[in-house]
Amino acid sequence: MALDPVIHQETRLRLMALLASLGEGAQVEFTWLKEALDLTEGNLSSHLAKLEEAGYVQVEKGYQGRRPRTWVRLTPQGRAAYQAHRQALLELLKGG
Amino acid sequence: MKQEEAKALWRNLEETERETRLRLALLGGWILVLWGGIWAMGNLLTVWSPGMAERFWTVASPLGVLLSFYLGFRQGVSVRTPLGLQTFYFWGLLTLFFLLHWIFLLPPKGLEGVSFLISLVAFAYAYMGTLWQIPGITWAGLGLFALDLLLFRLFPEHFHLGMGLVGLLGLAYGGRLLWRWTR
Repeated sequence: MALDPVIHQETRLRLMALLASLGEGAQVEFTWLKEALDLTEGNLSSHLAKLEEAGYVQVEKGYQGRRPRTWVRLTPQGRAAYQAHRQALLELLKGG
Repeated sequence: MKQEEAKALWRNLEETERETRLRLALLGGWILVLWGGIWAMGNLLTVWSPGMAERFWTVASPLGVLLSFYLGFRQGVSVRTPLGLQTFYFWGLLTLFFLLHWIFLLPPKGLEGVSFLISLVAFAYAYMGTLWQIPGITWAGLGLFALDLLLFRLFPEHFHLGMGLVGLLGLAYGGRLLWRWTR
């Protein structure tokens, strides 16, 4: 099993790990994600864009009352890719 | 990839997963600060000033419950998870049980009543630990139950002092988590 080059980057791995640990059907607001991962807005947006391009996350913009909100969720493809990457990492550790 | 690099990535990954679940289960640390503070104050007041303690519990308990639900609701605005919803419903039902028990059945009077309430909360936290896959919370819940039983059965004269100290521990740990997650 090979490591996924999109997920492999340290910040994107943490981002995927966070989203995966929320469980299926979860969605998280951009600001909460930024604070939880201690990233700047630009940095988080850039990583989300790469993951969205790969089909691993879905980013939705909406409103809560009058406040604009951005919601992020892991796609089924993203969850599968993360689990595969996790497994590949584990095999690498065992194989060493 | 070198082994050391792989190990570092794996540690990072596990820590992120664990920290995320802990942060959500404990409402960012706020629930421990809230109830640790209430519990410490209430129990220590019971030891040193029982009259004042009764007034304190009358105000602090319902306020604490309302604030707990507010904290859960506020988190749910930013992080929508099926697990979060389950937790919300679970505590909602437990609170309903407390209210019905109090008002209609058996008000938790005396040390027996207090011990019973604490046992219930302790097991509720043990369940929370299994729900959120955080063994530490499960063990903390079971530990609280054991301490509750021990103090009630063997050292009833020190019950409230013991629980006050547990409250202080909870407050300190919650404060530490809060600092870690908000700095």
